[in-house]
Amino acid sequence: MTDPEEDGQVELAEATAAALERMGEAARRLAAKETEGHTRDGRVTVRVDAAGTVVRIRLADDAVRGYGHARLGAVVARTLRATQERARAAYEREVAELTPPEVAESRRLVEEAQRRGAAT
Amino acid sequence: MSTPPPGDALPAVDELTAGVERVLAGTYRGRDPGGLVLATVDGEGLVVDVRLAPTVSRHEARVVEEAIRQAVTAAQRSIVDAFEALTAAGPPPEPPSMLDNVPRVGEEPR
Repeated sequence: MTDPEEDGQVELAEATAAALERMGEAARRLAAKETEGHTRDGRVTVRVDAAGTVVRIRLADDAVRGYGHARLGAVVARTLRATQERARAAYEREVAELTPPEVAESRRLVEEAQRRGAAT
Repeated sequence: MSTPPPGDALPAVDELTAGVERVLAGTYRGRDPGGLVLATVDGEGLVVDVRLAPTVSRHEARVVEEAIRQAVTAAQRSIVDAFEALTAAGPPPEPPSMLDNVPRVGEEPR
């Protein structure tokens, strides 16, 4: 005789695996999406992907002399960081939105089991 | 090579977890091949610092742009190397370059 609870878990695991595969493809597309950021004066423009890889940096011709080397480095670092954080937040938000119900349910069950394990 | 007894699996997982945490907590530096830029990123690849050599003003903006991109990419590559070292054969690595990788105050690229 089969255990209906066990059958349900196997079914959920299979549906989760299939959903994860579909989700993985979509997540890879989202990870490659580029985000642009720039300084208020527009002299520094950067473009990064969701993984934080720097795709492109554009400096105005007068940026190096205008800012000076020390300040330009700080401005570039700040602009890159802010853009990376924005790209990551957008990625996480969009991935969360496309999380299929099977994956969400499996995650909930795992977290519940972890909580039970931690409590014992 | 003999299979370790099941009891050894847990310490190995703990060591790997600790190693991953060390990598993520570190900071990593990278330079462009021309030595114009020194970039520092955290363990997740986010930019912490970019320092330009004083000689940077002698170069066209296009050269500086590419040098910055290369330096950040090199710093991010160090994170990948650190993760690869974790899974390489042998004992888990010490957090070797973590402190070495923290840029000193006022340090400039060559």
